[in-house]
Amino acid sequence: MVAPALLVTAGLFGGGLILTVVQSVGVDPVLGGQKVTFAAYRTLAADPAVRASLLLTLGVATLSTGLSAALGTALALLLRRAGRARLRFLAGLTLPVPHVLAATLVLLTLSQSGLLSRVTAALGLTRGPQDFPALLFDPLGVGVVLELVWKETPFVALLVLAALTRLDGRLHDVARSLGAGRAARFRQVTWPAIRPALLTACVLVFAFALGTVEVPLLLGATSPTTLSVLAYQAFTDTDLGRRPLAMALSTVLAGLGALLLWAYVRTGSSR
Amino acid sequence: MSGLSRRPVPRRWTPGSVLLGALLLAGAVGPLLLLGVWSLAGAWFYPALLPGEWSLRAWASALSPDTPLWAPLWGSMWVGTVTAVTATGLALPAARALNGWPGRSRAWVQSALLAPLILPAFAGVMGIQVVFIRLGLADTPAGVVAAHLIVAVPYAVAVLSATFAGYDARLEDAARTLGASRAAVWWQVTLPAVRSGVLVALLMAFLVSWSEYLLTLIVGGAQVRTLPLLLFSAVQGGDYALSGALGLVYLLPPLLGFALLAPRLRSAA
Amino acid sequence: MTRLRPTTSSFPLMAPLLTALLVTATPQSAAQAAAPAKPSAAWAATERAARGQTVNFYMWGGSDNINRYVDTVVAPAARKLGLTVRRVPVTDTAQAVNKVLGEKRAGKVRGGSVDLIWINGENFRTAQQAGLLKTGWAESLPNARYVNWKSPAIRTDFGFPVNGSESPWGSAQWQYVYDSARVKPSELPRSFAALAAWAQRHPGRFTFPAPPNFYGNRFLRQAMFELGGGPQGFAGPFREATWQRASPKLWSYLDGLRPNMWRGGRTFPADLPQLYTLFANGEVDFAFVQNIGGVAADVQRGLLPKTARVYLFDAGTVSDTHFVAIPFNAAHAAGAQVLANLLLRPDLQLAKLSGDTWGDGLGIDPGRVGPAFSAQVKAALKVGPYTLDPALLARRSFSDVDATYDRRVQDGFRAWLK
Repeated sequence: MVAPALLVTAGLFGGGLILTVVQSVGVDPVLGGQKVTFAAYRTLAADPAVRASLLLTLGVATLSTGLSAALGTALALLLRRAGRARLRFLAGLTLPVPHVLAATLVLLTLSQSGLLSRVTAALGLTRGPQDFPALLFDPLGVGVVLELVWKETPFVALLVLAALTRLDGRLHDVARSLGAGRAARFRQVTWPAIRPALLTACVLVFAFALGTVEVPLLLGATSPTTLSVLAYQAFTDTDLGRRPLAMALSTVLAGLGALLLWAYVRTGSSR
Repeated sequence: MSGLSRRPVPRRWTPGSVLLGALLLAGAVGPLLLLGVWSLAGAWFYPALLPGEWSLRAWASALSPDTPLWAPLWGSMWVGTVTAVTATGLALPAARALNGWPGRSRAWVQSALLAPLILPAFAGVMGIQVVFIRLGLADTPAGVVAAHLIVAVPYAVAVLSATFAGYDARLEDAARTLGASRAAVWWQVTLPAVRSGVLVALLMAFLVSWSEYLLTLIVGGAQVRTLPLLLFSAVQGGDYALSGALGLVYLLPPLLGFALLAPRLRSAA
Repeated sequence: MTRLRPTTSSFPLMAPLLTALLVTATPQSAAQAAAPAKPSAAWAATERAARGQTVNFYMWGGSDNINRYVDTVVAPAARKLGLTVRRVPVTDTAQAVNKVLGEKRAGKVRGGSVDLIWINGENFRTAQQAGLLKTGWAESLPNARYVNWKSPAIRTDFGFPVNGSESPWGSAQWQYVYDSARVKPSELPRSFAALAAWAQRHPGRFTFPAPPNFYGNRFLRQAMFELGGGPQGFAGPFREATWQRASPKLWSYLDGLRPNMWRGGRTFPADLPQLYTLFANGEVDFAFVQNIGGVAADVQRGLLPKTARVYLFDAGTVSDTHFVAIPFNAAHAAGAQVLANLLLRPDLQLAKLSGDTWGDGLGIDPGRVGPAFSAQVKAALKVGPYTLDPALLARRSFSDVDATYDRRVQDGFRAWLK
């Protein structure tokens, strides 16, 4: 019964990954016959722009995951305390917002001439666009991180909240009656209950941050840019000689993802 | 807010929860408002807080019969619906089977089913594109659906697995012993029990497809036009008035779907 | 906002000012137009074959003006010929070329997905070298009689012979945009040296889109021309010695400019629309435009403020032609030819020139259409605050140089960034 679904995820996607790896070593799966070469990987390793891009990609993914996790957990705890379905609904409203649109909103709001900058100008806090912090199109990817955090915080919050809802409230009462303080109760009761959900959420957010193209294209600097953007640019280059580079970059990204998946499954099964 | 508090609620609105609510409400309504104002802006430059000129140009441009809003809207709807139905159809038996799966191998099968959530989907799609061209799937809505399924199926599996986790398979056995056919059990016992989950899975799969940008671009070659492609090029083209109008059109269907199904989200998760 | 990738011939010496050819009618050419060509039997067959076809027209889709022109002017006219135009928007023309390349490599020699590409310059050269384009069709289109095929700007694209594998669609010339509310005309920098001095007095108020973006690259090439003693020195095929002599001057010029640029030159806008946003919101004081109609359409659209103006540097600016081409494996080649022919029709060319729609320069020679048409052209252009006098443009224009300079500037810029 799992076969049809596996046909998509393992067959179509897994098969596609194998073809990506094959093409990254210079073999054309249709024409075939070429010699295996690791030239694409050597080119990547020698290119300082790729190294800068790798650092940026990992930095953006780590930072946005960390921030979404912290803010999302806090939001979940607040929502749990408030205990209202309406609030939960409002918090969840960013979930269906597509990333292209979310990036557009960030652009309209946070650019140096965006809405927020106009508000600070109207309040006399800034005298011109240049006084407003340069959050977008910056080499550190701040704009990309902000978009991801805005989109993913509620996602983390709802996953954590679901875990909190399953947590038996009486555990807290027992801990309190045993003299546990606020911090101790969080550490001993709440944290173990939300940890698996939080971990899952973090892995998903990190994975998305690794693979997104539209967000850095709309909000990131022209250079350095993320590995996924480099891969896409190489894939659509008129120089077909750059195709193997695209495939190699994709392979590297898939490798990072596989590492993440392996670590996740290991943590999951060790519990 | 008064409208909200008139209903009997178990707890009172504390200042904290009112503040949180106000923040969340601003976060939800703000973007809609921003898009709406931009869509009606004629010329709106820094440091003006409101457009200096109002204009219906963007809406006229977006809604006139000659312009290409309709094809992408239809494209997004078609691809999203087919993807959602197919993904849920594939995920339903898989999730049901996973529920009773024994021990260690379950983790493996589950990993294989959920891998595209963690590995970048475009990495596989770039590799397979050359085969899609050969098979004539490139540039077709069917090819785009196939690519979207890679991401939509795992989401549907995840949602339905959670649904089936709380499902008591003994109900099916009971129905069988009472003489129900296999099909009757499926339609009259299994499906009603997981209906909420199925609806949520449909919504999730639709949203995944509705949001997808890169896979559509790679496989559809810009010929299969969807709303995110149209919005992206409007934003990159610096036309924020048009972006505002397109953004609203793009945002409303998923918001509506989410609002309708939100009450079921918790019961399914 | 015309924006295509690099462009045009390597004949700066001949620089026969396309714009002049296009906008100034000569009596001889008017006489030529008096005898309309009779459509051949072959063309009638093409038209018949095209009936009912849907042409996939791949073009850069970032400008609402251009999109609307195609959707509301071209497409309805095509419908009358029994042809459906499906405009396929791409973020970069290279994507369309890449697509045909991919199909060729996958062995798809017919039934290709791309029927017509808006193209010129480097992309044309790449496509032509890879054997991706149908050749020898453009000059036999009925409306090709309006085109001045003798003009070097039309005979060659990027120094590459066009050989009838591209049909001209329009023409463009580089212009600078400033905001008259912020910069007085007397203060305008009219050379690259003056620009650097201006930036020093007004730090953070200038930037350009980063190459490989077409506009950034063309800006830098023009800077190189001035620093290297004028475009004449770069004429003809690429010469390593010329590059070695001129390029260090370009990089040291940029070294001096960089700290005075927007955001200290640490980051750049990715494309022209981003630069327009910065300009319109007062973050920077200059932008660029390539439309012969200047910024009229962009002001009307509300993208640029009403105080925006266009001007030229004293040494002149680059002008060029852009084309449409048909891939070798196009599924609807007949339809694509009928569409290419339609794009040359004088009434459609005229509609395109108007600042109310797009402001793109003509691809045809008005003199070959007739004196009445020349008068209409003059009326459509509406010289004024947003549009420069075409005669001035023509006087101050030169052609671009060999594509290799383009590639070198792009690579050099990437190295310079670090």
